[in-house]
Amino acid sequence: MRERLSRMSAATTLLVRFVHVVGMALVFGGAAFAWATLRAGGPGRADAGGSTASGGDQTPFAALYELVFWAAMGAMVVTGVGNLGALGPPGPSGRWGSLLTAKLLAVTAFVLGSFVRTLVVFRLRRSGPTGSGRSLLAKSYGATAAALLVLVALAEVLAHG
Amino acid sequence: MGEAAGGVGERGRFEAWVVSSFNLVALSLVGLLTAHASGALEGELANFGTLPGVAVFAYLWLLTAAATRWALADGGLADLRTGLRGLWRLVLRGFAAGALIGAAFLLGVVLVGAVLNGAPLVALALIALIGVAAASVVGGVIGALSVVLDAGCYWAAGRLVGRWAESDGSGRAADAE
Repeated sequence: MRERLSRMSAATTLLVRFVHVVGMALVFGGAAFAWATLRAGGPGRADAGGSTASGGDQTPFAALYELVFWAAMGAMVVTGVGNLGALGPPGPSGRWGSLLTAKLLAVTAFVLGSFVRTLVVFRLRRSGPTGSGRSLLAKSYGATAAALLVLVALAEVLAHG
Repeated sequence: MGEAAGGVGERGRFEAWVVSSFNLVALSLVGLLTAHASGALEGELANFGTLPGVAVFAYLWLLTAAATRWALADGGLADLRTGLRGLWRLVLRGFAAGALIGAAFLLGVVLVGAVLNGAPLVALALIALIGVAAASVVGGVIGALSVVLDAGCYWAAGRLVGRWAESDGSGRAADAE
């Protein structure tokens, strides 16, 4: 019975980590893809100055990313806490504790910035003409992908020292 | 209420989903940071299994999504364009939604806990009576503060879009010349 419980616990821990990693892959991959797509153009390609000449409304695509992004962020917060519980969280002092504080602060700042980006998409969807905001969205998703890279690096340091 | 007002329809659902998810994620992170800084995180997590933790979080997410949808049903964040009056209306709605979330969350958790642990009915009623009032006030304050945070982000997004539109317009004017 104890062995069965232990196996179940190991499976749960593995599942929690799997969901956490898949969530990060979704938000990072999605942001990088959105940045590349919006930069590359197609109809309504961004000109040399970064502004949009015509056509190609990108806000439905951006809105889809935002829906997936917030679902993934919710899942990543709960699985992140699960990971901490499995590892045994450190106290606030010490190197590991300070790294965890830094990571939590960085994630909080990232979440705030991401919400502003989401509201930019929301405002462009409401009032923008077709093809509007392509360069602004491209910059937003580029910044999101860059910030996520920093967070992944912090997570690696936190996990492996 | 039409879709243009943000109450119903695809855009209304989009708004309610992203706002509720952001508020829950931000609140969770602030809670984690506070618990970690005070050194209480280790003890709190030790008393919580993975599956109960996921179930509690999912329940809170569901409550937040439903309450946010109600709070934004009459105009949504676009109400903020009307200035302080719009903000005040949203803060009041946020307080009410937060109070509902606090009460429903406590009731749900207490009920499930009582059923699982076989607690007596009188003790359950007493906890519910005192706890729901306190949870409503705490939830209401958190709801109102969340609206202020949402409004700040909405304002920042508006500034970004406005600045982009200005630079885009001047760029095109220069091209035309």
